[in-house]
This record gives sequence, C-alpha cells and structure tokens, in this order.
Amino acid sequence: MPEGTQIIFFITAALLLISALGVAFLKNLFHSVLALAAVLVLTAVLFLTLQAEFVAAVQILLYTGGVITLVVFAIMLTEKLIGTRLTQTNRKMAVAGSLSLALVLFLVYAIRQEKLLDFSKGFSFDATREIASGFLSEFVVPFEALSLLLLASLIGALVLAKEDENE
Amino acid sequence: MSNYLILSAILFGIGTFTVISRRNAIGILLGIELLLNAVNLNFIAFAFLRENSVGLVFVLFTIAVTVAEVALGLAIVILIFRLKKTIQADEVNLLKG
Amino acid sequence: MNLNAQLALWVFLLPTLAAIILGVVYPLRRSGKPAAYLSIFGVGLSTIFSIWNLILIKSTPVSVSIKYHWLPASSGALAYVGLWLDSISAVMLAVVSGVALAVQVYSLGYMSQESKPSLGRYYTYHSLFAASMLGLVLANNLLEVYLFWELVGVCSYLLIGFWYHKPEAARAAVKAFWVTRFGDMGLILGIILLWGQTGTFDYQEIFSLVKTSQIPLGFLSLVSVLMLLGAFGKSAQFPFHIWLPDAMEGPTPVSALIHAATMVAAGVYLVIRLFPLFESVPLALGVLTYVGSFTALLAASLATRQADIKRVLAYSTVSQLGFMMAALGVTAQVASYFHLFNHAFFKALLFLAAGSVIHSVGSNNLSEMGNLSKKMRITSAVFIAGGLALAGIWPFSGFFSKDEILVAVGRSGQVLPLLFLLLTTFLTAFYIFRAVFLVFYGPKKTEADPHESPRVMTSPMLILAALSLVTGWFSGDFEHLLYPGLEVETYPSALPWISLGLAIIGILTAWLFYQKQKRAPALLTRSLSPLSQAIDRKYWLDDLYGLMYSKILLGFSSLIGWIDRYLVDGVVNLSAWLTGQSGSKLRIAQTGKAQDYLIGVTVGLLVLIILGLGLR
Repeated sequence: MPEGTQIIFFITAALLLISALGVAFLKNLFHSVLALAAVLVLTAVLFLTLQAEFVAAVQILLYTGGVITLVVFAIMLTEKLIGTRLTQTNRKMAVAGSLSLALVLFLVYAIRQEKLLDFSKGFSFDATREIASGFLSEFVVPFEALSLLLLASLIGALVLAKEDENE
Repeated sequence: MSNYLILSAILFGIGTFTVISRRNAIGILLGIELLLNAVNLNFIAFAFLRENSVGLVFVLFTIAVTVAEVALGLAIVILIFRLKKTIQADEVNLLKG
Repeated sequence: MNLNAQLALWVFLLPTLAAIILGVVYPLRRSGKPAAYLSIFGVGLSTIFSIWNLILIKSTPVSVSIKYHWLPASSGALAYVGLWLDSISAVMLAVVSGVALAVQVYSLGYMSQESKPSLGRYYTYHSLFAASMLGLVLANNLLEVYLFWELVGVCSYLLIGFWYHKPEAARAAVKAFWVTRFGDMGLILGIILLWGQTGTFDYQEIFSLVKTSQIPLGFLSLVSVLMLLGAFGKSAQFPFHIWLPDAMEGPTPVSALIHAATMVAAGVYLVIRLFPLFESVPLALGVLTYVGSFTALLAASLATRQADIKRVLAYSTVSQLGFMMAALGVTAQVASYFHLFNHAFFKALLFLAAGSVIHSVGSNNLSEMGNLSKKMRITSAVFIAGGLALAGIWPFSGFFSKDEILVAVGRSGQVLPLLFLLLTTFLTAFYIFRAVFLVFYGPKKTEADPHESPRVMTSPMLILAALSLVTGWFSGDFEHLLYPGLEVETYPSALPWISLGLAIIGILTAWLFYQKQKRAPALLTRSLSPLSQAIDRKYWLDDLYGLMYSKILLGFSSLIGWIDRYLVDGVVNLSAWLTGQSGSKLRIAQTGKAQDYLIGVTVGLLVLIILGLGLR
C-alpha cells in the first residue's frame, strides 16, 4: 500500500483501539458512551480509506447520530430514576479477559495463515452506484423487509416503553 | 489487507470482553456495538478486496438492523428496570435453574 | 341329528340350564326348596334320557360325533366344540346322572337344616357340577375336555368348601384344588405338546394318527405320561392322593357324588376314553399298573386305622381307583370300566349310608357310634350290602368286577402288582367290616338317640343297594355293549377263589378283632407299632408336601421377590437417582444471567475456531 494511506491507517487504528479500550474500561458510563462515539467516527474514517464512501456517511448519520443519542437518553432515564452513579466493575474480568484474549489470538493466527490477494487495486467502478442499483434489483426484497422491520421496532419500542395507563 | 482484518479481530475481542465483564446492562449494549462495528469493518475490507458491492449492501443492512435492535434493547432495559429497580445484569436472573 | 345324539345333548343341557337359571335368578336361588326341585328336575330328566339312550344303544350301537363351530375361524383346531356319543360315553352319562339324581334327592333330607339361601347355593353348585361332569363325558376334543375338567375341579372346590366358615373346610377345598392343579399342569402340557405335533385337538383325528404310527413313540410316551399326571391328580393316585381324605370336610352327599362316584372317576374315564393313545405306549401302561396297584395297597393300609368313618371310605375310594388304574395298565379296559360302573353305585351307597349314620348320631367318629343296627335297620342293611360289594363277596357286584381285574393282572404276568392287589383285597374286606362292626354292632357308645332316616334319604340308598346286588351279573352285556364284536374269552383261573377267600378271611379278622376279642387289635398295633405309627402319620406324606411347600416353594418365592426388589427395581431406581444427580449438577450452569450464557457462547465459538484451524 502507498505510504500515505498506510500512515492514515495506522493512526486511525491506534486511536480506534484506544477508544475501544475506553468503552470497555471507563468507569463512568457517560465516558464510555463518548468513547463509543469516537470509535464509530473513526470506523467511518476507515471506511473512507476503503472507498466505501456511502457506507461511511450512513455510519456517521445513523450510528453516531442516532444510536449514541438513544443510549445517552437511556442512561439519563435510568440513572435519574436510581439517583446514583452506577458502578461498572464485574467479578468476571479474569474469565472475560482470558477468553477474549484467546479469541483474538486464534483469529489473528488464522488470518496470518491466509494468503490474501493483491490488495492494491480497490474498486474500479463507482461502488455507490452499484449499491443503489443493487437495492432496487437484487436486494429489493430485503430492502422492503427492512422498512417493515424498522416500523415494527418503532412500534415495539413505543409499546414496551410506554407507562401503563392504569398506574 | 491483513492489517484491516487483524484490527477487526482485536476490536471483536475487546467487544467480547466488554459484553461479558460489564455489569451495567447499557454497558453491555455498548459492547455489542463494538462487536458489530468490527464485523462491518471486516465486510468492507473484503468487499474492497474482491471488488464486490454486495459486501457494502450487507453492511448497510446490518447498520439499519442494529439501529432497530438498539432501540428495542433500550426499551427492554427500561422495562426491566421498572420491574426489578436495577439494571445490574448480575441481579437479573429470572431464568435461573 | 339322530335321536341318540339329541338325547345326549339334552342330558347335558338340562343341568346346564338349571345351573344358569339358579345362578342368575337370585330370588329363586334364595328360596331354598324350589331351587332344589329345579335342580332335581333337571338331573332327573337327564337320568331318564340317558337311560333311554342306553337302551337304544344296546340294540343298535352307535358312534356319533357332532361339532359346533363356535369361533369365527371356520377350520383349525380351536374352531369347534362338540360331543361324541358312543357306548362308552353313554354308559358314563347314565352313571353320572343317575348317581347325581340319587344324591340330590338324598340331600333334601340331609341338608334340611340348612338355611334357604344356603340350600339354594348348594343345589346351584350341584347342577353346575352335573353339567360340567356330563360335558366332560361327552367332550370330543382335548381342549373341551380340559375345559370341563377344570370346571369340575372348580365345583369340587366350591362344594368341599361349602361350609366356608369352617376353617378346615376352606383349607381342604384349597388343598384339593391345589393338588389337582399340579396334575392338571401335566395334562395341559401333554395336550399342548400333542397339538404341537399333530395340529389338532380332536380325539378321532388323533386316534387315527396314532394308529397309523405317525407319531414317534418317544414323543407319545412323554405326552401320555404327562396326561397321566392329570388323571392321577383328579383320581387321587399316589402321590396326589393327599387331597381326598381332607375333602371329606364337605357335606356327605357331596362326598358321595364327587369324591366317590363321579369326579374322581374322571381320571379313569379320561384314560379309558383316550385308550387308543395309551395302549401303544408301554411306558404309560407300566406307570398305570404300578402306580395303581401301589396306591391301592397304600390307601387300604391307611384306611385300616382311620377313626373318621368318612375317611375310611375316602381311602377306600383311592384304593379302588388304584384297582381301576392297574387294570388299565394291563389293557383290561373293559374290566376297569366295569369296576368303575359298579364302584360308583356301591361307593355312593356307602357314603350315603354313612351320612345317614352321621346325621342321626351327630358325629363322624367311629368310637362314638355302636349298636346302631337295631335302631337303624335300613341304613345298616344297605351299608352292609355296600360293604359286601366293596369287599368283593359273591353275589354282589364288586366280586365280578374286582375279580376280572385280578385275573387280567394275573394273566399279564406281573407278579408284584398282583401281590399288591391281593393284599389290598384282604385289607379292603378288613377295614370295611371293621367299620361295620364298630358302627352297627358292639356296645352303644353314643349319647345321642339314633333313629332311622327319613324316606327321602333311605329311598335312594335302597335303589343303590339294589343296583349293587344286580349290576355284577351284567358283565357279559357290559363287554358286549362297549366293544361289540369283541370276543369274550373266559379263562379258568384260581384267582377269583383266592380273592374270595382273602375277602372272607378279612371279614372274619375284623369280626374277631372288633366283635369278639377287643384286646387283639391293641396287641397287633403294639407289635406292629412302627407300621401303625407310620399309618397314623399317613406315612408322613402330608408333612413332606408341607415341608416342600414351605421350604422350597416359599424359599424360591422369596428369592425371586428379593431379586425383583433389589435387582430389577434397583436398576430402575439407580437410573432415576443418576438422572437426578446429574440434573442437580448440571443445573449449576443455569444461572439465569445473560452474561454467563454469553461466556458459554464465546467458548463455543473458540472451540469452533480451533476445530476449523485443526481441520486445515
């Protein structure tokens, strides 16, 4: 890979890892959420380096914009109701740590085994156009189903979170 | 290329760790986000490698579904909170036995 | 259907109908006397028909076999029941229904003290028994005969235990059923084996197979010995004889009918009926001869020391049946059947007369009687008549039939059985006249005021006594009837004279002991004391059986019980316990916490990855 992209990659990757560790370890839940926001944005940057512009845009819009907002609201609701700061530590750290570590190691090992093709070319066509035409031809059914899903989850969330009228 | 994959693997590992070790239910949801992110990165990397736009489409779907899932997940968390007055995952063991 | 068969069918059906009506219609049964009259009516008509039948057959011999399909299968061994009427079954029909009639009429007097429902129950059982016995006589296939065989056993049980509140009676009934059951196992085994080989239960088909030597001899020997076990059980031959003396707990008329004249004769009748099967098996014949003669002697010796008048007669029956079995063993079926015929009458007579005595004196015990001949003229006369017939004194019937048997055994050249039988002849005369002298002569030892029995009881006895006098003269006709065309051979033989002499000596001995010198019996007892002790303990046979039962059978049962509880159930319990244990151990993994489950998922994922890597 050309030098410039590589540098961007490594910097982004480093920041990404630090933020992810922040999500995992930060005691204050708010801080964790902010770390997650960082993760999401940095991931979008990585998408850009991989010529997936549209996906990057969607990532920022939906994930960073929508999901983070949701989670923040949820934290505010639950925290308010309890009235205390929540503690985050868990007794199972050792187990979790070792398991995750093992997982990562095996995955890395597996990846290393692979002989991968030449990575330098990238998309020779306009990917976004392909996505668009794909949505309306090959993937039209999942597309429509997705809209149905979103509707269902919207209603579902409303119903679930509603206060009981009798109370 | 393998760098991207390795990165996504590490993210996946951190995500797993988060999910298992966080006590707060919302913390767990954050961990799930991490996991999904790692997976998306993986898909895009491969789509780039193989010049196939299907990978990108799949990622879009994933993102959309994740959004729905988070919304519902939070709704459930709030409900459980109302029921048990806590969102500590340890204490929600209604399925015990 | 020809007239004979029709008559025979009605002979069977009448008591059956009576039994069914009495069984089903409560009020009739509870009313006592009317139930009795219905039953007597049924048997009475049966007797008339069977005698009519016999007269017809005498002029034109007949052999009719009728089959009724009773199962949907139109062919095959199980498909039908039926009757086989020929001279053999015709004679037995007459005997059974005749004696049954006499006994049922007699019972009107004997059982007059019974309450009405009880009397009704008694006559219901009587009708049922008559039906079963007649069915047995008429059966034309092995399965049918087994069915009626069992029915007859049930009736015996019901009637022995008629006074069921008496524990001895209940026990005796169970003992009778149990011991005969043993024999019946042999019978059914033999029947099934035979069916397995021949594919049929029908008498005539089997006979033709045997005659044409299609059944291997070894197999046939096995089957016939097994069937003999059944016959021995029913006819109380050694070693199955133990139930008959105990069966005397039942009412005396019942003893007369079932345990003297008819049911116990069923074993002999079966052998006679199936004789084509047995006559070609030397082993079976040998068994018959030896078991028969040995039993005769055994029982006669036991009879000499009985204190209960009915037990004397019971052992006497066993002894005489032994005579019949021995005769069959030397292929003298005619002699055997003739003796059965005569025995039915005089033994029934003896029992009825004994019942008359018991009824008037109030006790069965010989030492509580005495000097009854003056007050009970008719009873004593008929008892003595019966006794003379039993002892085999000319001109009474027993003389003729017993001598035919002795001659046949003598001609066969088997010395030991002959000796047994001769000795038995002596003992027979002795024991029966011991009874005569103790009961009817000598000093009066009873407190009660004896009186003659009412006419309803004495009339049957008189008829039977007349028969005992007369039937002996018909031996020629008898042979001719049963086996028309058979040459009647007469053999000059000293045996009839020898047996007559022995019998007279027996009577004299009894007279000496019990009339004249009272010390002699005591002297003899002391000098032969081991023998008399053995006799008193019935040769310890009952004790032996009891021991076998309690130690071996019950021991075996408890072993099986233990195996069942601890091994068989143990396996089941063990698996249940294991399941429970593993369940409670595995339950620990179900914490209910989502994160723990996730750990499980991750572990699984790891395993898959490793496996995937390994498979490369």
